[in-house]
Amino acid sequence: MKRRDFLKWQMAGISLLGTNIPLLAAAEKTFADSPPDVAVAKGAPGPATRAAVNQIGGMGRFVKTGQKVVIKPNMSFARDPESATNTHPEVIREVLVMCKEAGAGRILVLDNVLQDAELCLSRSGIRDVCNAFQPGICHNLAGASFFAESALPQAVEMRSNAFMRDVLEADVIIAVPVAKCHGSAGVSLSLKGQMGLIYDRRSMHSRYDLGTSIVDLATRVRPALAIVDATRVLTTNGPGGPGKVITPGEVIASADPVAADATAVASYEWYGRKMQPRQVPHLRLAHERGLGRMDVEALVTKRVAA
Amino acid sequence: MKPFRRRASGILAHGAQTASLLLFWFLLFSTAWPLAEMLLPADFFLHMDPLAAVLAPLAGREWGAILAPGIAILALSFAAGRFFCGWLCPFGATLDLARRLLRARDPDASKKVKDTFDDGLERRGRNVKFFALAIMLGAAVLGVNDFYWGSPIPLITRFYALLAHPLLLFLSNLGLTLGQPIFAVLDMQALRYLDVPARRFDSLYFLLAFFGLLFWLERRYPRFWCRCLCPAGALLGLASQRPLLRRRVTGCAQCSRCARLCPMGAINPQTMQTRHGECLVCRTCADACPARAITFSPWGLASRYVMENASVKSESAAKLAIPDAPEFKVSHLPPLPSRRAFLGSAGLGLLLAGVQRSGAHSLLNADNRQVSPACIRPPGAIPEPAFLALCLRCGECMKGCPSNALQPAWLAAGPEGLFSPVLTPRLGPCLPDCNACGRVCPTQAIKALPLEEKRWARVGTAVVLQNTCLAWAQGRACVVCQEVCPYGAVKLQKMEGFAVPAPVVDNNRCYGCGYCERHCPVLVSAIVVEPLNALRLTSVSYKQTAQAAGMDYAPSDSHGGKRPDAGHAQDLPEGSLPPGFSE
Repeated sequence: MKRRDFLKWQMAGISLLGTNIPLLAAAEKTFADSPPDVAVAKGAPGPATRAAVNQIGGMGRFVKTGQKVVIKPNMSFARDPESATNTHPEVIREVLVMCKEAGAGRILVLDNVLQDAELCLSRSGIRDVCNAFQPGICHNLAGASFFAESALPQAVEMRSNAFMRDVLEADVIIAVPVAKCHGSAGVSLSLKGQMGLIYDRRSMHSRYDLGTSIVDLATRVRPALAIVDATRVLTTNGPGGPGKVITPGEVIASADPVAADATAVASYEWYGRKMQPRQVPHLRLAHERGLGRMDVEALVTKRVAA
Repeated sequence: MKPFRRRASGILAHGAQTASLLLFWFLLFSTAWPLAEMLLPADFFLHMDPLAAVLAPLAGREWGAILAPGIAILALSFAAGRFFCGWLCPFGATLDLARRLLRARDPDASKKVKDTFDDGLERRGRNVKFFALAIMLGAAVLGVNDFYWGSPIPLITRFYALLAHPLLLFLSNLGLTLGQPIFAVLDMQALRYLDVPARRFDSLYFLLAFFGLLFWLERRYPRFWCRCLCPAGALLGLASQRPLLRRRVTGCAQCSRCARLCPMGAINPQTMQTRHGECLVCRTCADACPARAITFSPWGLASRYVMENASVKSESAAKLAIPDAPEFKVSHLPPLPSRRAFLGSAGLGLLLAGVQRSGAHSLLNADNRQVSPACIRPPGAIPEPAFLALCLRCGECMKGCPSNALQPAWLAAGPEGLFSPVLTPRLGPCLPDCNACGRVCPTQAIKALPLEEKRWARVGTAVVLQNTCLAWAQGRACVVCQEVCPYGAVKLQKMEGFAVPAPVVDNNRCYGCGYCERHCPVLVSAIVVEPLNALRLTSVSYKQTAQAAGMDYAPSDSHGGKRPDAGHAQDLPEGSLPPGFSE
C-alpha cells in the first residue's frame, strides 16, 4: 500500500467515525449500563438458557478464547429429564454451543454421580447431547487417579479434599444445576452441586457441618457462571425424587452463584411453601462469608422471555 | 532311537482343548451386565460338569434338565473315555497352559517330570479322587453339597472370575493411571478418561493357595489335580474302564517313550499297558511313538496285538527295550480302589453330612430363624437348604453382578455355606433393573426371574442404627440414605425433641437393595440391610406373594417411577419447615 492510499484510508476512517458519533454514544451507554446481577429467562430450555446468559453479558464475558472450561451439570440420578433430578440436556447443549462460540479451548462436562454411572449418563440424556456436540467430553470421574489433593486455604472446616484434576486445571467453571430441593441442604443448586467435583464428599456429611463445608468448597471452586435450570423444579422429596415437579420454564443465570441460587429459592415453592434464601443454611453462610449475595430484593434482576 | 517324523494326531485334541479354553474365557468374560444375548448361554461350561450334573440333583432333590449336558458327557465316556478331561475341560486346559508357561523358563524341567507310574505317593494319590467322589456321593445322598470342593468347572470358573479377571482389571487400570500424563500430552481423550472399574472379591486367599499349589505341582507332576484329586475325573474314570475308543498298541518296540510323555502317567512303562480310567485320550503317546504302534480307533489294527493281553510277552519285551530306558517297578495295583474302601468312603460322606446338618447354621431359614444377620442372599435365591445344596460356588453370579455386590462368603452363611454368594451392600447395591445373577446361575439356585418378578424378590430390610446415625445420634442434617433410595422407602420424620428430621425405613417399601448402606457417610454404615422379610420362594410368583403381604415396591426408575403420594407436600406437619431449611 502506498503512503497516499494509507492516508486516504485513514482519513476515510476518521470521517466515518465522525458521522457515527450517535452510534458510539449508544454503545458507550450500553457499556455503562452494567449487566443485571441476575437474569431470569422464560421459554424453552435451550433458548431460555441463551437469553439468560446474554442478559448478563453473554458467554464472552466469562469464557475467553482458548480457555479450558469445565461444565458441572446435575446427572447423579438414573432418571429422565422429566423427573427434574438432573439438568435438562437441552440446557447443557446450549451452554456447550455458547462456550464454543466464545472460543473456548477444551470443554469438559464432569460429574461424580451417585447412582450407576452408565445409567445416569444415558438416562439423563446428557451424554447424548455432549457426544453430539463433540464426542468424549462428558465423563463420570470416580477413580481416585482422576483426583488430586488440594488445600482449601479459606476454609473454615474442610481444609483439604481431593478435586478432579481437570477442575483444578480449568480456567472457567460453569455450574449448570437443575433446581431441586434437598433433604439435608434445603436446596441443591449451584453451590451444593459442586460436591460432585470432589473425591470424598461423605466427610462433608459426617465430619463437617454440611452447610459450612459447602461454602468451604465454594472458596476453592467457585463457579464463574451459574446457570440454574428451573425449566422443571423438583419441589418435594429431593434430591432423588420422585417428588412434586413444577414447570416454571425458566433459566436463571448470574456471575454470582449465591445470587443465582437465592433467586431460585425465592422464586419457587418448596414443599408447597414460600421460603427465603436466608433459610437455606449454606446460602446464608456464603452470604455472610462474602462469597456472594443472597439479598435478592437488593439485586438487579432482569426478567425476559426467550 | 530311530529318527522319526513327528505326527500330529494330537493336534485334534490340542486344538479342541485350546478352542474350548478360548470359548470358556470368552463366555466368562462376557458375563457382564447388561448380559448380551449369545448363541451359547454364559454358563454353558458349567452345565457340562459331570460331577455337578450327577450330585447336584441328588443333593438338591430336584432334577433339572439344565445339567443334562454333564450327564451326556458321563454317558459318552463309556464310549470315548475321559475325552472331556483331555479335550474340553477348561480346568485341565489351564493346568496344561500353566505347565507350559512354568516349564518354558526352565530347560531342565522336562526331565523333572518323574516317571511316576508307580511312585509311592502317586500310587495312593490316584485313589484319593475316588475316595473324594465316594465321600461327596455319600454326603449328597443326605442332601448335603460337598461336591463344590471338587467340581472342576465351578472351581476354574471361580478362579478366572474372582481372581484372574480382577487382577487383569487391576493391571489395566495401573497401566491407564501410569499413562495418564502421556495421554494428556498426546490428547488421547478416550484413553485419558478410561476408567476400568475395579472388581473386588472376598476369599481370594483360598483361590490363590489352591491354584497356586496346583500350578506349582505342574512342574513336577503334570495334571496332578486330574490324576489324584478330581472327583469328576474319578467319575469319568469309572465310566471309562474299557471304553470303545481307547488306546491300543500294536507292534510296540518297548522304548517306553509314550509312558514317559503321558501327561497322566497312565501307561505302564514296562508293559505299555494303559489304565484307561486315567487316559485323557490326548494322543500325545500316539504322536510320540517312533514305531507308530499306537492307535485310538475302536477297531482295526488293535486286534492283532493288543498289549492288554500281552503280559506274557513282557519278558521278551523287556529285552527289546532300549538300554538307557529307566528301570521301573511293575504295578500290581488294580486301577480302582477296592469296593470296601469305596463303600467306606461313602459311609464317611454320610457321617460328614450328618455332622454338617448338625451345624448351628443349618437353622438357616429352617423355621424362619436365621443365625447370621450378614447372610443376605441374591434376589430369587431359593430357600436356604435347597440353595446350599444346589449352589456350585462357581462365582458366575458374582462375575455377572454389575455393582460387585455379590461376594463369596467366608463364614457369613456358616461353615456349610463357604464361598456361596452373599449380597454385601456396603460394597455395592442390588440394582433394581438387573437380574443378571439368576440368569447366569447354572443350577438355578438363584432363579432366573424376569425383571418384573425380580423387582419383587425382596432380599432384606434396611435398619437404621440410631446410635450412630448422624441425624438420630447427633442431630445433624444428613439424608444421604433418603437421597439414594430407589424405592422411596427411606422417609424423613420430624420428631419431637429432634433438631432435624431423621430417617426411618418404610417396611413395606424397602427391598433391601442396600443403596442406603452403600452410601451412608458414616465410616461404618449407620443403616444396614439385614435379611429380614427376604422372600425365598420356589414355585410361586414373587410379585403376587409380595403384594399379598402388603409390600409396595416401585423402584423409581425413569419411567415406571412411583409418583409421590398425593398428599406428599402435606406430609410436613403444620408450621414446620421443609427438610434442610432453617428458621
